[in-house]
Amino acid sequence: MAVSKQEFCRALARALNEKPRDITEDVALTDVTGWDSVGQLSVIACIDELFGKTVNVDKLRSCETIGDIIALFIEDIQ
Amino acid sequence: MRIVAIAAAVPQGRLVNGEFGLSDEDRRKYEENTGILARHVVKDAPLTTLDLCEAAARSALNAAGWGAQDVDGVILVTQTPEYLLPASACILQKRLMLGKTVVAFDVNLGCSGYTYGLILAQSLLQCGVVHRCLLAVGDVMSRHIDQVGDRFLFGDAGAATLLDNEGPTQVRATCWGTDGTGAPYLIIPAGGQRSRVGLTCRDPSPPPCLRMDGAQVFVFALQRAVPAVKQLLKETGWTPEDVTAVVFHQASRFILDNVARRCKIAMERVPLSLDHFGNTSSASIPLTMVVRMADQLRTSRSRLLLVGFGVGWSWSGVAIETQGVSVAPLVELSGTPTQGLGHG
Amino acid sequence: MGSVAEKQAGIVAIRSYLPEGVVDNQVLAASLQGWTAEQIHAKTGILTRHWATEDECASDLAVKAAQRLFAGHLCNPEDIDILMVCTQSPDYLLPATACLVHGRLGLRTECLAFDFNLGCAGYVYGLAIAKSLLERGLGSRALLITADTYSKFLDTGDRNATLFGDAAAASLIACGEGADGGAPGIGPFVFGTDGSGATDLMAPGSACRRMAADGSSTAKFFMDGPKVLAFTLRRVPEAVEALLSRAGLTLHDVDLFVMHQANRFILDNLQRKLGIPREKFTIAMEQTGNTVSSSIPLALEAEAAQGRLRPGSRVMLVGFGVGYSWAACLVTWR
Repeated sequence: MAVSKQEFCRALARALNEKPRDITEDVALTDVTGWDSVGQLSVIACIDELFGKTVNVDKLRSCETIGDIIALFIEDIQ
Repeated sequence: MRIVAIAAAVPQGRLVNGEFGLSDEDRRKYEENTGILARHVVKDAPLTTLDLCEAAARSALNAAGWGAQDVDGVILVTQTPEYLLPASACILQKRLMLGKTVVAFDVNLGCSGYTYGLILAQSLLQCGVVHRCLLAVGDVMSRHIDQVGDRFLFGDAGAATLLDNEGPTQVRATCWGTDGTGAPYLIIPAGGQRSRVGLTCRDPSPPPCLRMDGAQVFVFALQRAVPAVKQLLKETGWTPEDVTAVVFHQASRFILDNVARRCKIAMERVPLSLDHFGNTSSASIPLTMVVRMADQLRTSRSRLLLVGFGVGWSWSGVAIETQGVSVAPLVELSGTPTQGLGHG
Repeated sequence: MGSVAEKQAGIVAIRSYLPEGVVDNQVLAASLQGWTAEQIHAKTGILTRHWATEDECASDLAVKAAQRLFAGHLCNPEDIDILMVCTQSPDYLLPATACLVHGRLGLRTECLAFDFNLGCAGYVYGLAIAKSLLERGLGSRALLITADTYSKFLDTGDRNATLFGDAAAASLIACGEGADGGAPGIGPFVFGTDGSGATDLMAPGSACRRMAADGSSTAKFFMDGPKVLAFTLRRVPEAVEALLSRAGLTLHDVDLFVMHQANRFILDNLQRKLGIPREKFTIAMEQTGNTVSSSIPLALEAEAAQGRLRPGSRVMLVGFGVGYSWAACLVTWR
């Protein structure tokens, strides 16, 4: 299922309870208040819903920016 | 195998969400994520898992009209036993005054414990090792918790199910699995024999309290509980609409919502006890049946998928078509101390 | 599906593992008031026992025993459908030791795995459970592992320390052809439980009762020797008689009696009371001590190695002890 980068960012923003304009590729996750243990669960669910894939938790946790998360799913993004 | 009766017991002590000293925002966040408003815990009452299981067992025997001498098998599933030795099932034999030729043993499993217990009982019943089996399950997890998120999540409970081999089997399908690579993600690092050398977990010095990686648990649930449901549906030929209820281990609302979504099971068919009892480990499936499905189970034929998944990793499922189950009302124990055994 | 004979579960192979640390009577006598090394041997029949190190736990012993089975090409990890670990000294309260062992042996995720908690009667109970699961078609091969580190319950100043040794045994149980014209591989069984004896052999402070703050003892270990002996001399002969009756056999029809290897004193008394000739009565704990649920499989392994078990040998296994819990069965050796 092809999803655009923009759509992915918007979905991540929803999952993290943030405004869409605050979730862009270069944003550092440490600057995202919603990026806590509950937020991580929502992101995992979001990715599962969008791509039908379960994320590797260690890889997700090693992400430093929104862009890093996008890079994990670059094959699924058009 | 036939489910004859089910009963459950919880401690009277209760913790509601306002008692955790959380900010309103945090409390709302946890509530929304877990779906839990309150949970029963032992608090200062000198109650253990065995006490809860004993109360549930008495209640179930009464509901079924069975005498103590009728039971010839006891399987007690817990991760919080009285002692490492002897097995709590042996002590239960004495407390209930069961016969001395009974088969009795403990099984160490948690979230998957009830459904594994049913699978073990079914084999013992069908091979004639046992004819009337008491499956007692439960945990008092609250004494092994030191983090507010876990305190929010877990409740204490015990449950008892009586099983026999009368009539055609009610079990339509079973499934199970194990993945020991998940061991570090849901663990009490100190409390067994390995008190110093722990598995790789995120705490450097092993504490005697639960350590759980919520994200790993969630991913595991999606990867294993979802296929388990699908396998049961496939083997029974049931569609999601044919099923009366899917009773999941009450992990958290968030997990169940997502697992149900992936299985295309409507949440109306997913009874929940976690709202008022929290995550009650192996007791959570039978507790849910007692507090949410009593009338249905007593009066109507019920097609159930029972799915337990969690610590281990371990998971198992049972598709069963019950009829005329005796369901006892929930027992609440006040904690008048039962004598702890012991020598100074 | 297949003939009845194909669905008979039997013991295919047993491999044990003993930790490397050997504790002899000299060492123990040094910490015990008024007991010499010779007295320890005289009272218990034990010369040495193996104790795990601080870093070694039941899962480590279990894994090593299983690896010996795999190394002997008796089966591969991917062939195991059922994993049962019998232990009273688990690595953790949770997760189960079976899950740890599953992960380290690299078994398949389709494997059914669980711990069960029993002591000296654990092997015989384990055979009953494994047989039931296999004969109901839940798998083709079961790995029944007994593993305990009782040494961790015992201080060297405790006389009970002379009795116990640590060990693990991995038994491959599988359905195959019946031994001779339909004789069952394993069975029949008799079982017993008497929780009124729970206080005679226990680890009071070992799990959750001590946390209930009701004045319960926090002691590491307790055993009332005389009471345990009285229990043994009452229940074991009863069980032997009940089993023979169930099987339609007499004492003379049994080729070998392998009892839980508690200690020499108990075994001698049982042999005398049951009237079993010495050459049919296994005594095999001199180098290992009482290894709890591993004592029967260890003894079987030793007897097989000495050529005292042949295909078709009819063996009676009797486990008895902590619980109180006891069980007996007949095994037709393959």
